Amino acid sequence: MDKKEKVGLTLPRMLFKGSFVYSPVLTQSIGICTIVAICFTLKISLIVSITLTFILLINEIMASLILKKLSRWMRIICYMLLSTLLLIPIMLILDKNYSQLNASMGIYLPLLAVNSLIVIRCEKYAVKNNLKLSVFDALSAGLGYGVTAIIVGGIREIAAFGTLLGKTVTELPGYSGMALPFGGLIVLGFTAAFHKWFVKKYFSDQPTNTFPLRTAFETPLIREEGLNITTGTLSILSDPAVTNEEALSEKTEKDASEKAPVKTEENAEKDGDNQ
Amino acid sequence: MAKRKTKSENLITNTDSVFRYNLDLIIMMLPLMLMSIYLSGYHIIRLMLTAVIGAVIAEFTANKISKSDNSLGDLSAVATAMAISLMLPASCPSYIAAAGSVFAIIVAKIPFGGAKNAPFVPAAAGFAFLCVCFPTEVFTYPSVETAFNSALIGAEDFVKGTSFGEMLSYGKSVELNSLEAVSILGGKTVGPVGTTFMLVFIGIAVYLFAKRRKKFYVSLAFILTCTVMAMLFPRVNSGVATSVIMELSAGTLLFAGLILIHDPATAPNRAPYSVLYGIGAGIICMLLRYFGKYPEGACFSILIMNAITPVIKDYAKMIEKELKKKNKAKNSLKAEGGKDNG
Amino acid sequence: MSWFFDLLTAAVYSLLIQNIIFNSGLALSETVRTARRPKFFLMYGVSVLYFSLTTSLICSLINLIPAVKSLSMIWHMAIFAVILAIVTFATSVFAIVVLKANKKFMNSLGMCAINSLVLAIPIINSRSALSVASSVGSAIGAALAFVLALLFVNSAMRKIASNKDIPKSFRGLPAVFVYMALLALAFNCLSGQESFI
Repeated sequence: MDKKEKVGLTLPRMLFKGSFVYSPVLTQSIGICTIVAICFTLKISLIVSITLTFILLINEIMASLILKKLSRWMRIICYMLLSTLLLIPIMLILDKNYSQLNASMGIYLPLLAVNSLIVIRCEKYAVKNNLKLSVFDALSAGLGYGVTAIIVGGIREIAAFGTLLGKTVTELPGYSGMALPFGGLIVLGFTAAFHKWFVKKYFSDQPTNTFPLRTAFETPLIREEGLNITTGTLSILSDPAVTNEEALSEKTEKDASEKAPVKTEENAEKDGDNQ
Repeated sequence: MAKRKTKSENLITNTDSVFRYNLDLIIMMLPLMLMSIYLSGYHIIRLMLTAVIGAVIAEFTANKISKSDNSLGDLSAVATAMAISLMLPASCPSYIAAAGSVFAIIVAKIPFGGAKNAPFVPAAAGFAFLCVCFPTEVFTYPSVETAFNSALIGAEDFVKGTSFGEMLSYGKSVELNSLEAVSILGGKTVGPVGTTFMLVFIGIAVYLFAKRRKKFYVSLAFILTCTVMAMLFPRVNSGVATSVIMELSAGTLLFAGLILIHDPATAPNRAPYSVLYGIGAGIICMLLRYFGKYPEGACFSILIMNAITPVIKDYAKMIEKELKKKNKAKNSLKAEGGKDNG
Repeated sequence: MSWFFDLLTAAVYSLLIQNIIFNSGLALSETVRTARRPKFFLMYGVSVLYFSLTTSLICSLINLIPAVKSLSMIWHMAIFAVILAIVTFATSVFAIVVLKANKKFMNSLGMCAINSLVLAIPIINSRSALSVASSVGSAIGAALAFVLALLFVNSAMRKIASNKDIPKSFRGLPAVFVYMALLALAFNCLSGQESFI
């Protein structure tokens, strides 16, 4: 009962924190090429984020179950082939039903197979953790990517075309440059700045220097507490609260098993009293 | 004990120098504005007013949001807005001027901490943004006859003129008789609202030479390089002189070369590097005119040189460091060899 | 000698006229993340050049087969991904067995192979119906564009890191994104609003 409650409490909180506070796009600059290049309408952002989350989930499941036994260079090839395999039916379906949309996405949808989000997340977390944690990580990373893509796509669609999901929202003139990659980078930069301010104000215990630029000066890599710069990848799994929750749930199991003999003794005494 | 400058004193000198530089820019742009009122009527006032108001509001709001000191006092917002509005055609709608100056302030200046740290010249970035977003509105100029109080683009009575830039891209040349020369010098040609007045530019060059000698060398290098490129690779067949005069009086080349290129935050200050910067910008500007998508290359060439300069600086420093290390190692080896021998 | 001019034209196109990173927005995350470690620039550049060159060459040769040429983009992507996987596998085996590479090198090699550019170039070449020489030139141009972007973004990071006046919310990654946006704007002078993708 206790364990179920803890899981019920932590899962939504973990998903929120994992997607927003540890956003892979805004704090680690992972997977920005698709967002910047084609996410200039809300519809495309939705399709891309759902596809990427699905591919990431399957990849992390396979990585944490089977692929962890291979060496790293073989795993990377497997991710690429597995993602391609998953993308073929998705693209066939999209081509059939949304052929215009598919054409406007061009080559970027097939390139989700080599998106850095998949490789980095699988290599850093899925091969080192069990299945449940890998699924959480995939869902939180996918949600984080999706939220960013939707925000950027929505802003760009309103700024460039004055529409949202195809329906006209404003009659003001559109700035067609926002549909180009430089417009995407501008919106991404300002979203990242807003995200940084928000996290600093409302989640002040989280590390804010998530992308240290010190290494650009060619100095030896410095270890910072709480953040491993050599890997440099934050995720909900590196949140101390999550790891503590896991330890907590193990502790409650232990407590329950310890309490049990005491309870039976109490019952025996009570029974004895009743009798 | 040496007197250490306090932080506030340093800030004052920095802001003061930025203020004086922007004041010089505004003084240089005022005669262009006056000539433009004389030739194109109220358009420059309309464009400049919307641009300046947009820039000032944007900077004020940004400073309030980021809770930093009010930086309107260094006049960089005003100078940027004036520069962008002078490069637009007289038939341009007002919201475009405002959008360009707001972009220049909010994207090219504020995220990097103000005018003295901006890695790209804000006015060039704002104009480039407008070129990409509204290519028709920015490169369609009214004809000379209807220039005074001309209609806006899109209106029924708008008459399009053929600018020198357009003629050069088709290879059509203009006959350089005395009448044409007078109109080119006086500015009665088809072009942006504030950049066609060659006589005024000569005055601006003299002012720059007198007041800011080092900046003048950057501008001179840029303009001379463009002249040489126009002489060596003319786009029109009627002689070198026609090519040079047409290239120099077409579009925003002289304006960008005299007013935008020597921004103290991006252009090098010392003698050989500033001249090389000007030469590089000139070559890129002319190449963009020959091969680029837009009739204008000056603002984009400034942006490209702003991107290239830090790379060259960093790698020059690295190479210098490596050479120093090698020299030190050599010298220490020699010294040891000397000791052994002695 | 026309193949040489084809190669050069395609390389210049990939590098300048439609810069594969700033105008088309490919491999941006790899650029930003790799630009933080200047020690590995040369190695990454050479690896990306090698992978994109070999993959592009093999894919363009296979695309000459009429049966393959007539397939849609989805099947092209699948075939090219399989070719890339085979090339990566062969290179890794060669590196381990012949060159006796250590673990670090193998890790970096893997990351270079899965760079978005390496799979994107063959797909772009097949969509634009480029000849073999142009495909090779396009691959060389893309690798050069990647190295150039690394240099630009690294200098940007140094400039931003030594700038004390940046507002607190923009310190670090947000300022790098805005700098790259202005870089992309500068590269738009040659391509305008058109995109070949």
